[in-house]
Amino acid sequence: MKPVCENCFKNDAALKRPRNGMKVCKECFFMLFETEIHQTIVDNQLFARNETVAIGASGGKDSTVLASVLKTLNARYDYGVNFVLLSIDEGIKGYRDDSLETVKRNQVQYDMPLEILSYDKLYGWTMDKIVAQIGKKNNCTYCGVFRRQALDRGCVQNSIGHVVTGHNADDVAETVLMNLMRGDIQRLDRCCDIVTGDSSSRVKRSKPLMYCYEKEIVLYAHYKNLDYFSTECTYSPEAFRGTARALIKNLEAVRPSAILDVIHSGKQFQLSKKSKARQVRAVQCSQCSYISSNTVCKACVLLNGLNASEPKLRLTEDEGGAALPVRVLEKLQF
Amino acid sequence: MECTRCGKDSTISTRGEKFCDDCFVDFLNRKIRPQLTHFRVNGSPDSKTVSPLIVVPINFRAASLALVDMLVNMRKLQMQKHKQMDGFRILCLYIGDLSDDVSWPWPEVDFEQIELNVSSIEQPIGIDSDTLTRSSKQDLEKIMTRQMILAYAKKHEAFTAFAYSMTKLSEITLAETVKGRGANLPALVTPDLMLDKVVYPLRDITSSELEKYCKITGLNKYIIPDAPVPSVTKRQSIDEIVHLYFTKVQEEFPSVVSTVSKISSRLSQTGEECGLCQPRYIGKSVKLCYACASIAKETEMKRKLDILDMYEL
Repeated sequence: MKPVCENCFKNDAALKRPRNGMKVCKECFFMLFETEIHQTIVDNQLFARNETVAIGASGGKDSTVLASVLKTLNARYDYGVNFVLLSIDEGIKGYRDDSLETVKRNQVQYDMPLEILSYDKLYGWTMDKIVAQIGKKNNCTYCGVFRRQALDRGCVQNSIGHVVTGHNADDVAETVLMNLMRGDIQRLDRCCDIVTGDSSSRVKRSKPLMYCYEKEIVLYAHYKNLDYFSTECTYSPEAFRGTARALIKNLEAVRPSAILDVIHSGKQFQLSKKSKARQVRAVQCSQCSYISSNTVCKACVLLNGLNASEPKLRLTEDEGGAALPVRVLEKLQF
Repeated sequence: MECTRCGKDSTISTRGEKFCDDCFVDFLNRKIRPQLTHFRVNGSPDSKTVSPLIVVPINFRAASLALVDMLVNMRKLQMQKHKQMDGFRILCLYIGDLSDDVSWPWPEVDFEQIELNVSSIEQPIGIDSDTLTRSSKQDLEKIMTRQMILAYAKKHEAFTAFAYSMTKLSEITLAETVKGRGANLPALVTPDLMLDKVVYPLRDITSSELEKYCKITGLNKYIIPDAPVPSVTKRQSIDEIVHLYFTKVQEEFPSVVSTVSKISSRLSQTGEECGLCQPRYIGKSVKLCYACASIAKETEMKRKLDILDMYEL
């Protein structure tokens, strides 16, 4: 005999909720999952009526579920918010080009405008070019810093003051542990804030899925038959972050509430007076006027490094000169 | 290779330095002194003031045995240098059952044993340890052991020197974060000479260094081995998972242990009120912190399920 849904006590239970082990039917799962996100939105007053909000859309499960749930909740609870999909094209062949196709389909499915910004246009560098230059070791640093700024720039270009991202509870818990293990006290202090960006930053960022378990997001996407892209980035993830992720998964197996417990701890961390005094104040980058904790922002520092190490001279296709016949001959195939 | 300090043949390589056995033991003995500056010899030989008492909780693992050995050595040195005057007295305390075949290496050091009494706290808080998961049960026992140690030290107006190595401190930091006790972290791992009168003399020494210390000094034979950790992840406790994680991660990223062990000193001391894990609220408050409330919830859930079973619902 199939167990009965512990929420409606009518239908057969279809799944066991990873966050609390509750056995529920599909309909109740959808309702509970969506209501919890609605509660997060209401408790934290994330949206204002008539506000235009960008959804950072990568085509992956998190952002697809975010777009789907926000569209549902906007209609159900009449938030009066205009949602726009904002995608960043990092220029990773075989990964981002395919996932952007998913975002384009999502644009039609959810009837939302789509804006795509590319690293190539913004910085003159694609991730493929960056990896060719620096190798695979620190490429996630470049991608992360550039994406964060690109999302903000995309919002500013489109006069949008708020961007929501699909960070889930597992991501936040993982970040708390990472910051703890790296000794990054400043980030540890603010990584559990649901809304980031103060009065000095032009774009407000929020994480409506911050309390949603990754496993439940996958279940929601699966049962709702959402169209999402599920391939890992071709440039392998950071080794250290991988260890934190594995730890979180082991802890979740022993105590399902461990993910939320880590987030609770993260929220409770408060800097000592001494550490607070050392906290850096946000200023404007002297090169791009983006918000920064130093005179030159991290993106500009990385970009300057890339530009400085790029060869000054390069052979181009249309360039003539004495070597041209040889180059043409080299390409000939028989 | 030669010992970088005395030129003899080196036997140990740690912190980018080569040591012979004697220099390594001397190096670790000196490492605890910065944490114990409060216990310098104070006063003149004819003064009648009694030196402060330090309670050292013992569990017969490498760290606690090494700490007692180091404290005994430090006290001997003080008495040699200051005309038989000492800066502190030592009293070792064991909480729990102890089998008869366990021997005590220092006949001159006082040793006391108290039974672990978890039930004394269960009723007012509403927790029944028989209903708890292995992880929560272990957590509750650890909390109780700590409370009993601190209560004992308070009764004797003594300081407590916990034998937590740098590795152990980082494990506690991470494990308590995972349990949801982020707010109470500083109270658990930072020294406090005023209120709880707690010191952590081994905070700059790693667990592997302490194991080597015990091997060299012959304390190895007094060590009671750890209980085996279940091989299936689901049966492990949070403390065990974190311990295994640190054992693995420090091979690849050695700096992680020292980074994590120091982070709590940069956090504010504001803790959550809790009548179970916060010594200052015990007996004064029945309120539980987030993490202890989760333990209590397990008892509540088990009782509800028992009622459902009783009525075959």
